[in-house]
Amino acid sequence: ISYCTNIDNNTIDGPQSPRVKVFDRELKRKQRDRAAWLMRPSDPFVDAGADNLLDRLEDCKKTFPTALCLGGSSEAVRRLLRGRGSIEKLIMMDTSNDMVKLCKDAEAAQQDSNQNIETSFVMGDEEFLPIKESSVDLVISCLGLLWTYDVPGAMIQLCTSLL
Amino acid sequence: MRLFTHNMLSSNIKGVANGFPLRIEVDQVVEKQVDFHPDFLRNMFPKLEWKALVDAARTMGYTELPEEADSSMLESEEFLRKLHHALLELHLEEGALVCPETGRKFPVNKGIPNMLLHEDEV
Repeated sequence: ISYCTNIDNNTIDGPQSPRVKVFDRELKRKQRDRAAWLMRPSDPFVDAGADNLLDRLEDCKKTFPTALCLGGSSEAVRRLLRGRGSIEKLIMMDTSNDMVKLCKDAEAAQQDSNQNIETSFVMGDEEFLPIKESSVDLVISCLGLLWTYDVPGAMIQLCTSLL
Repeated sequence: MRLFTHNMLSSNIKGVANGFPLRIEVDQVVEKQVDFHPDFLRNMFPKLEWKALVDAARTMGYTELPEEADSSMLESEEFLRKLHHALLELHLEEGALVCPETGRKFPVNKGIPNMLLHEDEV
């Protein structure tokens, strides 16, 4: 079942009509492909953002064995996890093939403290989430959802993917 | 792509009511050794869709998993070793995932499944 909110919706009109495409997602994907090749291995600004986000996991008493990491600075998120959230299984998803490859290569070359996390890599779109319902404990997106056009639709799908 | 990932992926094409489990088409399977962590497997077991895992492992050429499984079997190291191998050591390197309702193929290249939809599928 598709929970995307911007399909076949003729009842909503006007400037807020969900059929208006604000972003060219295909172009955005190509831009991220290109960005993957231009990125520095570790950008202090991005790292600070990811670190701040991950700090919030330490405020939770709950642990999150299975996590989904979406778009944005996912490479930094994986690299900086350092056991936070007690994540055992991490799925990294991005619409850009080269960005996913970058994450995969970085994981393969790692010499850091995240070696006990089983990581997997998927090309996918958060607006049409290919994740089964009730299968993850945590969704992280660091600077990733700002180019999502249908944010409510993506949020509904992410909610159904959570346990 | 490993089978613990396959166990969570589903087809999200417009109009598909049940996109799980995706069928696997194999071009190349590789095996990579991973350290054995029994507790990881015990934690993971309750969330697995067992039948989907057994079918997927068979498609990948691994037939050692029993048809049915329950939590009492987690005491047996032999069972855990088999589960470990199926979930974490088998990689679908090249091939495809096939939507069970529409037959649409999602290609898997260099171990990365491409689950992006075309414009006419959303």
